[in-house]
Amino acid sequence: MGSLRFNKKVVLYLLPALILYCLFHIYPFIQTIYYSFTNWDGFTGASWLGIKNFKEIINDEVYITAVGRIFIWALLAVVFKVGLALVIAYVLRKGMRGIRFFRTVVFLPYVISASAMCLMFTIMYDKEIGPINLLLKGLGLGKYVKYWLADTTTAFYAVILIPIYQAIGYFFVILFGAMQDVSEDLYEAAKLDGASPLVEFTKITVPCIWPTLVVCIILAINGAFQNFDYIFIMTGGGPGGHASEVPATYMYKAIFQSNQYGYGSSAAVILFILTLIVTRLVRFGLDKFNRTE
Amino acid sequence: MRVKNGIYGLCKYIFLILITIASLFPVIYTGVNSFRTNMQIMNTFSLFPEQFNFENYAKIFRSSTLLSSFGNSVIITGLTILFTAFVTMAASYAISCFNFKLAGWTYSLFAAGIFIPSATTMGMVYKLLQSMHLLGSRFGVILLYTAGRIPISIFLLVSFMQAIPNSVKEAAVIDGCSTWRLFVSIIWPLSKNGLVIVSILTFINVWNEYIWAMILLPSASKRTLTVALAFFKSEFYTDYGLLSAGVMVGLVPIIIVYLLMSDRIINGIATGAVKG
Repeated sequence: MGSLRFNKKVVLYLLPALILYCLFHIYPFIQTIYYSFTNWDGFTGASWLGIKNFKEIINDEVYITAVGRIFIWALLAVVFKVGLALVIAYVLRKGMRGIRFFRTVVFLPYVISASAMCLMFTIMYDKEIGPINLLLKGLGLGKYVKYWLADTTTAFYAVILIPIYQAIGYFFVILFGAMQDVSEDLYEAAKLDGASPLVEFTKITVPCIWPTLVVCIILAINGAFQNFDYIFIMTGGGPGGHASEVPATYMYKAIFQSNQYGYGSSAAVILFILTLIVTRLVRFGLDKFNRTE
Repeated sequence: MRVKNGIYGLCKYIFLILITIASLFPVIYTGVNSFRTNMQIMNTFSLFPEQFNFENYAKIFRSSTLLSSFGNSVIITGLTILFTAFVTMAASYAISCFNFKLAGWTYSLFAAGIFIPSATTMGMVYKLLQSMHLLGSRFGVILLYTAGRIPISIFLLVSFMQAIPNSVKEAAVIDGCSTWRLFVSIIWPLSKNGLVIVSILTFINVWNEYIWAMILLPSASKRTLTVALAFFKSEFYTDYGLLSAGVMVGLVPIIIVYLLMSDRIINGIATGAVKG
């Protein structure tokens, strides 16, 4: 990558980062894969189980439902985190007075910690005095008022609204930056041809920022699949035990609450494989979509 | 045509105002509530406090865990930024300026590693730290965080360093610059911008981190602020005023840093992501 001649001392510069990373990421990862085939409990010896853990997990209804949930989450994440960010970025594309103020404002939720955001939303979701329910009542939609976090049907969605809400600003900043690189001439030519904003959007903006858009979509899906903090803080996977369980919390419980390191590791491995497959498929699908356009 | 433009413009502004309200509402609402008593919060919704009552904040500062957690967060975040800076600057220097195979492999390793979900390695990292007798130690957490910041920091720094013209580096070498001198006197100063962005991103990331801080530092004395806030929820969930004040205490540092640096942060992310 560089142009300077190599000398042995340079390796020393590389080593700390390499060692740290391998020690805390690569090595544990390989261990996880190994132990997923065993029944290790974290203390006593582990005996080889072959794929028994995997068979057991696939038959666990809780896990399957959890996996289904992250697919829904991924879909919502793409539509809202990326989709909404795309719309906002497009609306602001031309820049205007106060654009910097606006960028700062929209990005703000992203820099706030998950736990702080969760606390704030816990109050906002309150059944009696929470602004969300108050707003519904004010709009005459009083019958939709619920105890959002305790209701088994809504708990999951109430929780994931938070990370989605926070990430919109992040994706907005990225997509907005990408849109700045689109040449203004293209838009002017389109205007001369009498193109409406919608046509401009689909035929000029989207194709030009496509690579960045794909990266955003992949990141959003990846984020939805792996996320753990929000569910854990808000509901712990509940209410009622599993109403908002996701594979990450499932794995956490198996390892840290039941000491089933082997079993929990297999949950982790499945999650990893799933993430890889889905992101590959999505990328493949999106590339194909782009080529046929 | 004019009218159509006018309507479009109006819709645009309304849309933007809604977005602004949505983005600011939680923080403003919480901030306002932190100055009200629980009774007031329960009775009426208001976006302006009846009085600027600092009672809630007083209670918080009297309760020592939140303060010591604040201190822990400062120590951990500060040291992580420091370690990350040194480790990643050195590695990025090696990767971006020199031509050898290990550099390429290392870089690819970092790129691939991003797909390993942190959830996957949770159990084993815990065991690893246990065997190193670093469980419950802030130092252990700092090492872990630094390792976690390595990939993204190196990506950013390498792209910054590659922007330094080769002629500059080569001229220095011809003049007899040693590897170390080159690093310290030329590369490091010229990469300051990248380092600032990396440090800010590390700050945001580490300060806000929850999972590992919760798993690895359960004791009340070593806890970080994010974890303390989460405990706060279960301890004081009935007193919304107190809860709000607690959140505000946690938010203030990050908001201050953010307001001071927002341009740099946002530009750094935008350029980094678009290039990457």
